[in-house]
Amino acid sequence: MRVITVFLALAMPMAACAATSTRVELSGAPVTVEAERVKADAKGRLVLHLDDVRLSKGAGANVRIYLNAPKATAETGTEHPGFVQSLILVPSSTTRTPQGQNFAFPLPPSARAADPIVITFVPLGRKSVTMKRPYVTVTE
Amino acid sequence: MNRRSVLLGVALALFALPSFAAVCPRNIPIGNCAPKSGTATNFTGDTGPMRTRKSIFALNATEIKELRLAFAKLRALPDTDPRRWLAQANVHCWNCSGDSSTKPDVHGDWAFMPWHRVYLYTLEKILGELVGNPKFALPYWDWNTPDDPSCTTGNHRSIPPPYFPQTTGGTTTNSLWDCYRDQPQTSKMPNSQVGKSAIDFIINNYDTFDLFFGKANQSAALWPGPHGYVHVWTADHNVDFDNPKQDMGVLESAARDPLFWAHHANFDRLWDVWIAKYGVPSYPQAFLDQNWTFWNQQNPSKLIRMSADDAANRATRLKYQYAKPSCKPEATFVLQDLPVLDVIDLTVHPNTVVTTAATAKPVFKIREKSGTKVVLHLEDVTVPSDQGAVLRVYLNHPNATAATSPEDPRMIRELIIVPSRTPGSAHAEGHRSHSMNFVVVIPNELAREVEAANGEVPITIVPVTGRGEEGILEATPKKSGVRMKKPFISVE
Repeated sequence: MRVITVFLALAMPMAACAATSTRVELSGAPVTVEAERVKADAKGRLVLHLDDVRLSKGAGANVRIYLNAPKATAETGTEHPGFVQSLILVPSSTTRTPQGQNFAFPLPPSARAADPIVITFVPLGRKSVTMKRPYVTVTE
Repeated sequence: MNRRSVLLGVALALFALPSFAAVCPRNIPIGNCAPKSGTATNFTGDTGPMRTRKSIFALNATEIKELRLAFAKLRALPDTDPRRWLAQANVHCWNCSGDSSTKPDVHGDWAFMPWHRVYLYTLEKILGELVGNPKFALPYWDWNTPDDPSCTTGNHRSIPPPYFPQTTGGTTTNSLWDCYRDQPQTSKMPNSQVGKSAIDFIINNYDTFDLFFGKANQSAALWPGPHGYVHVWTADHNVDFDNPKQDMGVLESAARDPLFWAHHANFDRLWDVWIAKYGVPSYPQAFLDQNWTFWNQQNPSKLIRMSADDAANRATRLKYQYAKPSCKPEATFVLQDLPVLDVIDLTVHPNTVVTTAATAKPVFKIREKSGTKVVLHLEDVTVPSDQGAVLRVYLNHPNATAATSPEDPRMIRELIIVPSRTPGSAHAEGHRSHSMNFVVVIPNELAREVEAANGEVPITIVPVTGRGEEGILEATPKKSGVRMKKPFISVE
């Protein structure tokens, strides 16, 4: 399993995040990253953001997302308590350069106590999916 | 008429039939999906009657027949008509960056829900126009409805039966078929991907407008999950996201498959499910201002401009609603035209009627090993709302009475209908219950008699009521009031 751990200051403003973020690439093996917290002191529900998600031309995506489950693999089911959501995107055969897409996934209440917030991506395909480094905000 | 003229006639007849190869060749290239140009006029709101979208599993035989007819007519429109099947599919292609379109993709942001709503609306109106039924409504494929053990046929997570087989009645193309699908009728999507819990999770957790509908630069909740799985699964039994397969498995060609519309109607329905839970959201003005152009149902068709505001006002602007999902599939596969069935009023005494065969006689064969079933249909059954009924249904037993034992092997079903209102209560008088459709699978030993009679077999319906303190159901009731269509038989 490939593990990418990115340590950045907590409560970093979103603009700064965008300016300094490291892209995450998924291409077959599970990848674990620490999600950056934005406005971590606010009360409310935590929401995981995946920004500028880009697919390989002509391919779709089927990526399972887990919270605090760094050992998750393709065999780990969606019944796992750390399962957040599947990122399933229909392929497009467009010849145009694919645009990045942004996604927001509510996290379970247990995420609030997690420090750091560790996100594991388990791609079920081999073609590359890339995105900006994930971050977490709080809904109001 | 000599042999040559007969052969020529046969050849011409075959040529005139809707050939499947003509509507679904092995390789329709993706691309060139840009619509005709034109000046759009603003959509002013639907002025027709309210339409009701039902679960595909709840359609009756007549509705399935009309759905198939509508898509057959859509496929048969000339190439010059922008309402035709491929042109309508290309509207989706053009709005998902297909053909190197410069239009924004309507999938990855808050356009996803309203754009697909008005897209489905325009096709629904076209189909309704083609079959001359202003109440025509698209069905929805509620793959997230759990299969209920009491359901006798059908699986919600399988491709719905009306979309099979490729041909109906031997030579007639099933207009709902798509040759690019890669799933047999027996395949079933995994519950973990598209089951009730997957959708409930989204409805229960995406509880704000931003989370559920998305933002101008953020995906809607329903775009990245089960939606995509159903698409890819339908086109590829390997569910390989790296090597997409048309039609359903690729955005640009997905709407070529008639299943696309039922799949997306289910997502459109979930918009209502979300509102039922959280109330109508305060839609941001920038969301409502989104607008797109479509071809309307008129002939010749005109470009209309529809907005997310139209979509947000579904009931008043688009004039349709959703019926709740039914767990009990009632779909039937009628292989010949079903005549208009008379409505019959049952008396309190045994009522014997001869069924109508809804299946073409040449194929009216029972194939036990293949699981074929002979099914009796009792449709549009109503009773006065302040009255119940117990009806025993016998096959080939015209002498059955209220005293006949319910253990009699010729009794194929006992229907018990509970009153919906208290007798004498306000609004009870003069009202009838909602119409109910019942399907009765006839046991194999009796089905042979149905086969021998080509589906035209006496059915005796005996109203009964309780007798004595023990309430044994063996008495003749004092009033009936039960009304239904003449029963018919199909083979499924």
